[in-house]
Amino acid sequence: MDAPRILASRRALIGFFLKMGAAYAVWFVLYDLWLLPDGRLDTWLSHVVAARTADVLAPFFDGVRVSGRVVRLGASPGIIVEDGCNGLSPLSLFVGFVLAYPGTARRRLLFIPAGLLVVSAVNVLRCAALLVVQAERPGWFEPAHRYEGLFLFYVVIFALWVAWAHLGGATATPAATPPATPAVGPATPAEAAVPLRGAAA
Amino acid sequence: MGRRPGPRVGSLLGSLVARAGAGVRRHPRWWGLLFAALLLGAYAGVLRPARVWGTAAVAAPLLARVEAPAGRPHAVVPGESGLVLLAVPSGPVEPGGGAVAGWVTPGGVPFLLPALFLIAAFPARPLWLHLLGAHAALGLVTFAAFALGQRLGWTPAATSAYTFVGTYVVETVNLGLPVLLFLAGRARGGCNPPPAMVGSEPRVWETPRGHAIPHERDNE
Repeated sequence: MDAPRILASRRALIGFFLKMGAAYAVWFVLYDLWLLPDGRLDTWLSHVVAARTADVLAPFFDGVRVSGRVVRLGASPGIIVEDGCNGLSPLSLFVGFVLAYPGTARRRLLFIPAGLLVVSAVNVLRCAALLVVQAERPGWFEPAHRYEGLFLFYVVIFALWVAWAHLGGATATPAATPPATPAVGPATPAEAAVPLRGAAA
Repeated sequence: MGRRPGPRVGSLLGSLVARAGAGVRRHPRWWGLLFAALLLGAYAGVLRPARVWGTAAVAAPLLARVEAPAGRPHAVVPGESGLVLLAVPSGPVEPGGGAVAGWVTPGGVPFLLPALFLIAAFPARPLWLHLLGAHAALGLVTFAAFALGQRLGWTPAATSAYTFVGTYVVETVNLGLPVLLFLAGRARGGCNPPPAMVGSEPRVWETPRGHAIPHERDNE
């Protein structure tokens, strides 16, 4: 079943959104009510993102330092990769659609890990870009931090979902009817690193 | 007693629509960019001010009338942008505490970005109107959920439920629906307008009976 067919049938459309909703409900119970309060997964992922951000910048800039969740570039205050800013939220968003949209199980098993890698890599690049902006153009940091996460993750996840629709192996049918994001910030020299967030209010 | 438009008026309108459709089909990219620019202007000049007005003049007074249970009072206060309403603990319990939940007026950036994309990609198809309708409907759903949370005094369960709706359900519509619309638009033949707009060709753009797209909504 492809997108035109999903959109052409009220039942199919509701079924699609119910599947996505069910996937997110499972994730919500698992993450928001258990893993997030526990903190270990977010802490680990935030440390990984911070370390990879430093790795990305190290060949191009001197004075890149990482300490846990905090990454600094030269004399800049640095950024903190907080919970909710480490890319976990976009990862769950991406997986929900792939589970709900028709496709073969085998391709799904290949596509989800590949997509997770892409989203994670994009988040690392986003953190690196924000750190450079903070060091080179401090005045641009807040607007960039406020809006870029939303735009960037929307574009990336949109592209990945469209890719899944084409690569997932769903049976294509002729269209009979028309229809029809977040995480990193700056840190003070001491311990007042500014938390990074990705979603615009 | 008004007169229905006669055949001449109907034929004139049909001719104009056909000419416009043919023009869009000849230069879809330019028309797409033009329509996207018009939508951006309409958003900045009309939709955003209307959202600010609606938040202050409609949503806030409605939520102020929702009675919270005794012992768990929460005030509804506007956010900085005027596009968000926040539930803040008030009274003797947790005075001055942070906001426990926030409702964002629908039709914001999560609508605008996909709408610009859709209108640029398919200038002759009103896909962005479906998106606008969906965001409006989703706004009503989240508003009802916010009012329910307010009525329940934002108990932990109510707060968790609203967090789920305000995060995952909203994101599902924000991103899922544009993807479906885009895929459906492409499956119908790229940027070409529907034959219904070209004149004498069959009107296949009309939605068949029983098929409909539920409208839902969004965030600032």
